[in-house]
Amino acid sequence: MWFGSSKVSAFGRVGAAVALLALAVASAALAFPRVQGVLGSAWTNALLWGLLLVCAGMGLAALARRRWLSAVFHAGAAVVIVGGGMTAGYAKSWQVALVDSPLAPPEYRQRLVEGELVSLSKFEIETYADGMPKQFRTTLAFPDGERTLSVNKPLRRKGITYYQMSYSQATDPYGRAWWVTHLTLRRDPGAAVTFAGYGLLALAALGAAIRETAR
Amino acid sequence: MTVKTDLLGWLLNAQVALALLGVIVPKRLGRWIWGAVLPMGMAAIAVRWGAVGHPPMRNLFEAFLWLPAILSVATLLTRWRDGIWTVRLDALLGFVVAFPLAFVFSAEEGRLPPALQSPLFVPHVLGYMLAYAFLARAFALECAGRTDAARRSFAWGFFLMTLALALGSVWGNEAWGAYWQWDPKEQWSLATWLAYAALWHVRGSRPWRLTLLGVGLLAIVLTVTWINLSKLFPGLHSYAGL
Repeated sequence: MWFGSSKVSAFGRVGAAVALLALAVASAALAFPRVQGVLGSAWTNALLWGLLLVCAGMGLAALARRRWLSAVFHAGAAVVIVGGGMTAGYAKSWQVALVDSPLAPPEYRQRLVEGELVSLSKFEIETYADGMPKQFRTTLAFPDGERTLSVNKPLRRKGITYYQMSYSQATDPYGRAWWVTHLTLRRDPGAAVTFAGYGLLALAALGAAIRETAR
Repeated sequence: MTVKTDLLGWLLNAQVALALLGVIVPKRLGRWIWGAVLPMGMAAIAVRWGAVGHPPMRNLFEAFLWLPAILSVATLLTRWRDGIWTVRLDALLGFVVAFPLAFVFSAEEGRLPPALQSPLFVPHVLGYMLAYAFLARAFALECAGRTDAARRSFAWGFFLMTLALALGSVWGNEAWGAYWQWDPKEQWSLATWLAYAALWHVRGSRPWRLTLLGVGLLAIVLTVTWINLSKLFPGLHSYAGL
């Protein structure tokens, strides 16, 4: 017998087949708006709920049969689905473009974020010798001081994450060009949950690999 | 098809020749020939690393650069744990990856764009390269009837794939502001992972093992070739140009 002496139960196999099928259809629905149009969001939601129940059920069944790694793995899958649902339901993101010109009117340089006035202090572009952009960073002024963000180094503050996305140029009425920094602001309560699920999945997979090597 | 004639090019040409000889030449001599791929592969990685100034993982050429050396280490691991030599099988896989490396892919050097400058760059790409090598070997070993070795190769490949997928998602959340965006490469990576996840549920049946290891490998090949190389699927990962 492959992989451990205890066999996967028929429940486990049927569950896996149902879960994979549900996930395939739900993924297609989430990935392609056209499929979601045919399926409807109620059906997509129902599929994800079904998937969650199957994963949780398989985790509990594994727990009852004292198959600890399988239990942790399925719990991880269930937690990832819960996190994904939280992101789908509650995550909010919006784009902000700020002009780096001292002459621009205030509404071009600052925004009200959750009751706080946030304004652009500085935008810098660092280039390689051949002129290709190496990194670009935005410094924002908050009521309690300045903070800097750049690509791959987002700024987290009061539940909101500020991402450096891109930049462009704008011309003012006098014909002078100024940099415009493009930021994405996002609040996502599901991300941490999903990452906890990843941790469980990776932990269980590592345990399984060690078990198979030791056998 | 071009032949690369600089130092890196000759290190690659030598790996193609050694892998081919490793398939053909039997016994002890074949082992030494295939074993020589390890220093050659490490030298190629070092030369490229020095030339571009960052870990060579920016595109398909640089990612594939790691595979022959990884495969030759895997040969030694299987010899250590399972007591069998898999030289011909690994050399064949090595030839399959070294050939495009030497003669098809462009070795043009590039700088790292801002999105790739992250501590997660190396673990994400290296994790995937290791996972792909282990999972491809699992299929080959299962075909050759080496079930125990296939099982271990699969288990480590699946762990590495899980880890690399999760790290990629965490990285996406840092760089792009979302941990999953249904980018074509993300979808295919998920499909690949699901095929291998399904295997854990039908592990007692050899026909199912062969089918799912084969389906998984096909998904890997599609993910790294079709998605990356064609212009049909423009997406977040499409900077990994040929």
